[in-house]
Formats: sequence, C-alpha cells, structure tokens
Amino acid sequence: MVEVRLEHVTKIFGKTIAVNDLNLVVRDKEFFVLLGPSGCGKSTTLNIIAGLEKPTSGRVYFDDEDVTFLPPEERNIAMVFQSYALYPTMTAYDNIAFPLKIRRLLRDEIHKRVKEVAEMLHIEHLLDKKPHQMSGGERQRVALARAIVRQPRLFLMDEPLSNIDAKLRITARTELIRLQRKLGVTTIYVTHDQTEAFTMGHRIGVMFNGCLLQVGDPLEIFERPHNTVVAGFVGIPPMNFIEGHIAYDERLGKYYFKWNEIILEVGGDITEKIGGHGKTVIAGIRPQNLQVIKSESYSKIGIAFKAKVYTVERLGTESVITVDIDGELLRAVTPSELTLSPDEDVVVKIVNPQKVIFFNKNTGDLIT
Amino acid sequence: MKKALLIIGIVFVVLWSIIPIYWALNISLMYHFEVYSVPAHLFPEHPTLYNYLRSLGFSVFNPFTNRVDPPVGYPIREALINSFVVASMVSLITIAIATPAGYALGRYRTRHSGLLTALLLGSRTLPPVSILIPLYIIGLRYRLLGTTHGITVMHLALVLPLTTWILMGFFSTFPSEIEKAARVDGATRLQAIVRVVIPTALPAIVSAGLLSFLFSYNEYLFSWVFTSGTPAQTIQPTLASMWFMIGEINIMAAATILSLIVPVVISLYFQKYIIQVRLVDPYALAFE
Ligand SMILES: Nc1ncnc2c1ncn2[C@@H]1O[C@H](COP(=O)(O)OP(=O)(O)OP(=O)(O)O)[C@@H](O)[C@H]1O
Ligand SMILES: [Mg+2]
Repeated sequence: MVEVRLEHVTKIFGKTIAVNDLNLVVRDKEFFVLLGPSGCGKSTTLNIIAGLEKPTSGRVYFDDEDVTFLPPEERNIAMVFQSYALYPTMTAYDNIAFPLKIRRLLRDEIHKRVKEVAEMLHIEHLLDKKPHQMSGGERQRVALARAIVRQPRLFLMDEPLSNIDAKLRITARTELIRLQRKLGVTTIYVTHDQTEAFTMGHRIGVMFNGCLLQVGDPLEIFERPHNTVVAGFVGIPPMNFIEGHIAYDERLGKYYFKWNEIILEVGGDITEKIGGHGKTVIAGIRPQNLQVIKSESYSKIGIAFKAKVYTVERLGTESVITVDIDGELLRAVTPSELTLSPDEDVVVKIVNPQKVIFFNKNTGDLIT
Repeated sequence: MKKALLIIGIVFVVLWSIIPIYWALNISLMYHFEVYSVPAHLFPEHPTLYNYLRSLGFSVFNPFTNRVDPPVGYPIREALINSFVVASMVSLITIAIATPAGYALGRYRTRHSGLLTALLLGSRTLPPVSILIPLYIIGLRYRLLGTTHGITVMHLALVLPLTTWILMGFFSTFPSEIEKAARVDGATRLQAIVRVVIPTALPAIVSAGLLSFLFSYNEYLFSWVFTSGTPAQTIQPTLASMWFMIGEINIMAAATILSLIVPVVISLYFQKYIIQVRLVDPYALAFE
C-alpha cells in the first residue's frame, strides 16, 4: 500500500534524546517489527510516523510524499495502542464505526462494514458492549477491528499484545500475521518481546537508546548481529561474550582465537582487520552453540574444554546451564534429560565453531 | 462490638446534623400559635403550608384567626429566583471556562504552566475576605453592586481557580492515547475533543459544574456585601437578615426549608457525580 521512509529523524524532549538520527525504509506490504527495550524510543518513532509527534529534525515520507508535517487525520493510517485506547463511552459497535462516521459514510455502508469486520474477527457478540464490560483480549480485538474497518494504507501497532495472557497472545500473534498477509497492508509493529519480533516480522529493526542499530531479517539479526549490543539483546538466553586474543601458529601458518583452553581457528581476513597476533577480540557464542557433556562420557572430538557447573535452570524441555571456567560464567542450553548438579565437573563443547562470531573490543562492532 | 460502635457513631453524626433541619421543617408546618407551645410539639398538630405560601408571595386564609393574612413583606421568592439564576450562570460559565483551561493546563506542559498552576493554587490559599475589599472597589467602579451579573462575576472569581485546578488534575491523568486514537482515526483536533474527550470527561465536567453551583448558591459573605438590600439580593443574605425583618420564626423556618430544596434535589439527582471522589482516576471513572 505504501512505503515508509524515515530520513535522519531526531526527536528531543527537553534533555532526553528519544530518537537519534534514525534512517529507515519500511517496504510496501511488509510486516516490519521495531524491537527494543523499554524506553528506547519505539513509541516515539511510531508516533512520529503517525503524525502524533513532530520530529525535532528529519523527514518522513510515504512513498514519495513528504508527510513530516501532515496532521494524523490526513494520513489515512490506523493505529492500535498498547492500552487499546477504546473510547470508553462508546459501545464496541460505535468504536469500530467511529473512523467511518468521522468520514461521513452513509449509515448503511457503515453498518455493512462494521458487520463485516466483526465477523472476520469473531466479535459480533461484543458489539453492544462498552469497553469496561470486555476482557483484555476482547478489547484488543475491538481495537484491531477499529483499525482495519476502513482499509488504511498503513498499520501502526504499539505493543498490542503485551496486555493479554501468554496463551491468548500466541493465538493473537498467528491471527495478526494471517490478517496482515490477507489485507496486504504495510505494518509497523512495535514490541520489546523478541519472541514476538522473531515470529512475526518479515524484517526487524533493533533499537537502543534512540538509535536504530540494525535492520535485517530475523535470521540475519540472530546470526550476524552488527555489534555486541544487538547480540546481547537478541536471543534467549543472551549470547556469551569472552574476551581473548589472537595467536599466530607459525608451524601451521594459521591464526587462532585463544582463551584459556578454548582455541578456535579464525580466518585470515578477520585477523587482518584487527591487526594480527596478540590483539584482543571478543568472541560471541550463543548458548545454543554450547553443549554440556558429563565428564565420563567425554570423547576427545571437536573443540571442548573443562568447566564446573554453576547453576541449573530448568525450563521444561530445556535447561539453561551456567558453567564456571576460571571465574568466567558461560551459559549453555541442554536438553532437560541431562541431569546435572552444581559443582559437578563437566566438559563443554562448541557444537558449531563456524557460528562463533567476533567483535572488535573497542567499538563492539562485528568483525566480518 | 466495633461494628456497634460504628453504628452508634453514624447515628450520632446523622442526628447531630439532621435535628436542626428537622426542627425547622417541624416549625415551618405550624401556625404561629403552635410554635411556642410548652412542651414543644414534635410534630405539627395542624400541619399546613400557610408559611410556605406566605413566603412565596400569596395571601393565605388563617382558620384560627379567621383572617386572610397578606404575603410576607420581604422578597423571599425573588431571592430564591436570584440565587437560582446566579448559581446557574456561575456553573455554566465555570464549565465553559474551566473545561478548556483545565484541558490546556493538564494536557500541555509549557514553559509557564508551572507558574500558572502555582497562581491558581495560590489564589485558593488566600482567605476570601482578603479579596473582598478590592473586589468591592472594582464592583463599585464598574457598577456591579446590586446586580445579578455583578454577584455572578464575583462568584466566578472565587470558584474558577478551584474548578480549573480540579479539571486540570483530571485532564493530566486522562489517557492521552484515547485522544491520539481519535486523531489517527481521522478526527481533527477539535473533533477529537468534542466527540471523544468531552464525552469521556463528562462526569468530571458535570462535577465541576455542580460544585460551582452549590458553592454559589450557598455563598454568604460576598452575596451579602454585593446584594443585600438591593433587588439582586440572593437567598443567603435574605435568610440571615430575616431575623430583623420578619420576626415570625415559622416563616423563617419555611424560607429556610425552601432554600434547601434546590441543593437537596441536585445532590440527590446528581449523587453519582458528586460521589465521584475518583475524579483523579479517569479510567475507573470512564469505565464505570
Ligand atoms: N512526551 C514526552 N515528554 C518527555 N519525554 C518523553 C515523552 N515521550 C517519551 N519521552 C521519553 O523518550 C524516551 C522514549 O520513550 P518511548 O515512549 O518512545 O519509549 P518506548 O521504547 O516506547 O518504551 P516502552 O517500551 O516502555 O513503551 C523515554 O526516555 C521517555 O521518557
Ligand atoms: Mg512504548
């Protein structure tokens, strides 16, 4: 429906820089997720796109139209708020009909369209109720119905699922995706929940402290995070960072990353970029890439090192094991069947050495 | 045990405040001769509206003296009407001014809003008497003394800061997302206010209006200074001065009871608004 482009958008509230020089292109018909921790400026960005806030500087384009100073009512967009923002004095029917009434559609046409979306979202039975008579999940549906009733060219959603229970959230997620694919409306979805971001988004933008750090598809963000901030924010449990140095083995003519017992071969091109032998770098290893093995069943294959179990957190089918290597704590994910107890001696193996990534120690940027 | 004490306490408080009113009502329904009977009658033996009708300007036949008694020579009916008119105007104008002012102050933080808020509150901390003389001089200068609109203006000066402050508090906690939603849904700023914000804020707005109505209707000091002895005299100074002007205690009682009708009806009818102590929690209020 529309491509959204933000160019050098900055928003300053008093002394807070809520959004800092943000550049972003959201493609037509895309489901774009803006992911970031609380207070990083996601809502502010969304409000700027909606026209509810004016950027301190920078421009907003819908396709080729400069909408930076266009008031929200003239943008033909729809928004779902975190609190749903239903009109408290109106019934669900009137809530959904409101955007149509404002546009002075004919009564019959309004009636037809409200009935249509109500049917689509299975909320016919709620139409006579007022917001305070509905549950959180029901309010969320009504808010969604109000957003889609007039076929806007852009959907903005500000954490619309954060106020409903976990089970309902999963169904609502699938429903939202299905609906977006069906309507084909460009959607910008804000959340601080990475599971939500990774399951819903075509592409994800990771925001931190007002800055957009990386934009990419979910796999890219997960496997090739641009810096330690994104790497540390994305993934549950968070990525392990270990600081080691580069060593050159003259006999084999190869470069290695060394830290304690861990020795990983690194490509020559990476070494070149950081300056070779003796330089310090940070290795990032996903907990999913570490395997914990009982000492007795250890056979010397692959890259492995000795460690001591520190804590065990059981999460149903998986457990998160924190191991201690010379005072450094690393997390690993293992199947729950493996029973381990604190202080047990174990061996930790790096499952896939190619997936270990390296960051520049000073800038925190990914070395590629 | 605790509960029993509580009930005794409540009964005591209720009796304490209700006995004087009961007594006024009792006397107001008696003919003159019965008022001073010893021991006092707890209920009128010959209940009659004689006092009420005379207060309101009618001649009434008194069967005990076999005479037609003329209306009371004192403008009680006019005072009731004046009070009602003044209080209505005060509450309507309060709503018209305090709603937008409270909205603007509560919603938008500007460089000067701190100062404005301080001034609003500050004006409430002054004893009203302290502005009586200056306002009297202003009233004299602009010929506001002894006029209905004059006392209206004075009451507005007293009640506007408070109502503005209350509505400001309301609007500052009013979820702005509701208004934002209306904007995104296609409403202009004005449409959003008229069609969404005001209906949602209606209980608070009505409360502010009722508060100012009751304030104006019950206000004595300024009403006395600005209107007593003039055609604009309102009910409170009238009740106070009847003691010297009429001297018939049963008539005074009837006038008092008459003066209570409007506030009591309002309190009962709009009870649900007046009990809104939740004025500060618009969500609870809006979803009520
Ligand atoms: N109207 C405002 N006035 C002043 N500061 C503001 C305003 N709106 C937002 N901020 C500040 O800007 C920063 C970003 O806020 P924003 O609401 O965009 O965060 P967010 O990413 O949506 O967080 P959350 O996930 O908690 O909703 C915060 O530090 C916030 O305090
Ligand atoms: Mg937010």
